[in-house]
Amino acid sequence: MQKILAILLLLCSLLFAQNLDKLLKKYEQESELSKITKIDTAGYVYIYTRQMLSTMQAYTLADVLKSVPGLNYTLTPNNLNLFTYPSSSYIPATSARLYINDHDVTSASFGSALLIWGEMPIEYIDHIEVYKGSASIEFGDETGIVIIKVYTKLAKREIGNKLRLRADSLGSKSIDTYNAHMTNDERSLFLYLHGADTKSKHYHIQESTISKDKNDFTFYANYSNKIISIEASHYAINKDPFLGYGRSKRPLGGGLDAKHSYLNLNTKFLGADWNLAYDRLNYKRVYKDAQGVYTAQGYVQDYRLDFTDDIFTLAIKNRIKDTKNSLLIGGFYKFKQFKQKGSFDAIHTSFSNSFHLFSLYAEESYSFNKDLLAIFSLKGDFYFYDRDVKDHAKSTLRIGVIKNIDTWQLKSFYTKTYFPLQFYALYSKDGMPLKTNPNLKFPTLDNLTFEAAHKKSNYIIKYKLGMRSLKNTLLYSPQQGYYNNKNTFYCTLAEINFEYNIDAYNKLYLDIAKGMNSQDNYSPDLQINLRLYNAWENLQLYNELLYKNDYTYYGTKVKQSLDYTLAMKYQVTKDLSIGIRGENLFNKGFRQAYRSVDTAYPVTDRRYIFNVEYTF
Amino acid sequence: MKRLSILLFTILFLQASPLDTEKEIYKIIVHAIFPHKQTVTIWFDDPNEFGALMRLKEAVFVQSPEDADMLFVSHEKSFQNIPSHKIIFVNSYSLLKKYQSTAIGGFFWQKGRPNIVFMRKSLQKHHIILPPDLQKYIEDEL
Repeated sequence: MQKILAILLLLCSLLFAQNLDKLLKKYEQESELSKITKIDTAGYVYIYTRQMLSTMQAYTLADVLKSVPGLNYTLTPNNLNLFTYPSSSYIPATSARLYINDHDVTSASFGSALLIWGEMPIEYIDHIEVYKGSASIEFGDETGIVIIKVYTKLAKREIGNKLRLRADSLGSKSIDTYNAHMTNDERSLFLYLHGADTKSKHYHIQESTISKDKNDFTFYANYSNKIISIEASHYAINKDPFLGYGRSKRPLGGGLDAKHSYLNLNTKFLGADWNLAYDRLNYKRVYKDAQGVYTAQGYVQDYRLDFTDDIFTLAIKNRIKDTKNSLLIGGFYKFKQFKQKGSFDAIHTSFSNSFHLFSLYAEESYSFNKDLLAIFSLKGDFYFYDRDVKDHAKSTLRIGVIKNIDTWQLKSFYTKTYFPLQFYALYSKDGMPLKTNPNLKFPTLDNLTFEAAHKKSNYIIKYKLGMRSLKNTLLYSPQQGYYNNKNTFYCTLAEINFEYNIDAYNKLYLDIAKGMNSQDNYSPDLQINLRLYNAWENLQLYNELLYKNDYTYYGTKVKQSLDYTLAMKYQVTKDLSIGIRGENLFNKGFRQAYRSVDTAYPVTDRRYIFNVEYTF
Repeated sequence: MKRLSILLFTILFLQASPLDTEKEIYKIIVHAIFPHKQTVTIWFDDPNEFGALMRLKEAVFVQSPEDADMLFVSHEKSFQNIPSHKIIFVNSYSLLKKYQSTAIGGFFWQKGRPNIVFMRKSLQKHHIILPPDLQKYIEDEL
């Protein structure tokens, strides 16, 4: 017996006697930051590691979010990004939250980060986690059920410089560069700059040009030492209005002009994590439409809207752990102020409002044994408005259980939460541009989910089922303005996720999602996503096929779609790589239909992108 | 047979952790510098930084840097208290850049990937000749 053991150990040591290059690659792969940051108890997490993002040659957040299973990342008529669930219409803007590291970049005026940050550049991002079925309590911030967490690259791993240049077949050009520096006393600095001029396919209707062109600029800096981490960021984006907001769907000019700057401080003090942040957002919208743009006081030809948000955050959280318990307790205070200036032909408006939000939360994860974990979370939010809008006291409750049985893992979560309403629906003066309603109830959500995951050494298959009911959803009518829908909205989502690992660098992901809801279908109810990541020596290859079935949107029939993306990257030296990425190569990618337009437009244009990356 | 399966599974599981891969990397480095020694005496300045080293079966850990064959350094202040004639290996780019004439090399993250660098002059000073497969990690200066 001892001889057999000795031979076996010898065989194992020979098996793992690898050369240093391979070991370094292996170490890099095993040290992925996503393994540290992901929170399995927070919901159902979809991870895009640094290696995956590199192989995909993903450049914007949209390149990633369009392949998240069970979600459809699409464009509104005025060129803004929103999600739909399979079969449903746009999900409430406030239900999806975007965090850059731990900083929520959601606006106070319109309640979504994606409207500004939906196509943010991700060259400075290390990895991305998308959580579904979450209550966001684990992240110590405001409520949301789709949580997108993007984590920036760490200076201590990036020491040096990087330059990335990109150009595409539609005439787009972009540049990204960063510098990372670290001193011997563990002070580090990471600086990132991005600029892009992105062209899109243009459509010509009579003398008008329909365009989604955009240009954007990003600055990000992160300074850290042993005591504190300080982030400063500025993001500015200009977008053409696409179909605009007017009656003709032939906008004459204008678009979005948005800026977001923030300062975010994190430190540890008295054993707890403290966060202090200040955000300033400015969002200008201009619509010019000869046939008029709707306002509550009639159609106007020149529609200008200017929002400014100031957000101040103070947050504290602490996690107390012992062998069986993991208790997270925390609270935060937010002050959010918005100012709105409007110019609608001859009508001019100017007003502001603000609120104070106090939140307290606790989450207990209790391990009965190594195979059974129970999670209980509770959060109370108290909104105090400065003017006219009624105050709200709301709560979020979440119960979950995770059970391991042999090679299976079972997960179930029940969440009772709500979506906070934003100023654009709650408060205005003289009902311009839309009739607001300060007495609106916050929409509420009951969400019950199950997952059964079967893990083997080289594959994992997950079966998911989610059922949710939404009450008090927001609707708008010219007579009433914004009002709460009295009907309860139900939807169900079934999902199968299959991941097959040939080895650390060659992986296959197959995801099938089917959605149903209690109303008409407004988006494809079936999605099949196939992603293949391959690497051989110096070559990386990425194949992505996204299938969506046909659907009808307010009478417009849209055919089934197949969006094929192919990316190839060749590592010329350790420091230099060249790549090409083709998007929507079959030109049969997903088309979004728009109300009152008798056609649908592709969300992703067909384009060929050339990419050079150099580190020095 | 069941016990063999458990043992094999345990070994495979342990191999998958970054700490074990890091240990394998240090094992190659230590063996390259001391090819004829069965055991090497090692001193390090921070157990949190060199946890993987502590798994090395070929290493004996000592309290005093004077008693060690090789020193592993992660903090700059340690350079004030260690004998500079010893074989020194660091775990940060900035330390190696500053002490490239003293340290023989380093294992650290740079440009988004883990790197190993040996300094030619320091190797020569200690009369160390690396095996052929590690020669490509030698650099003249940082």
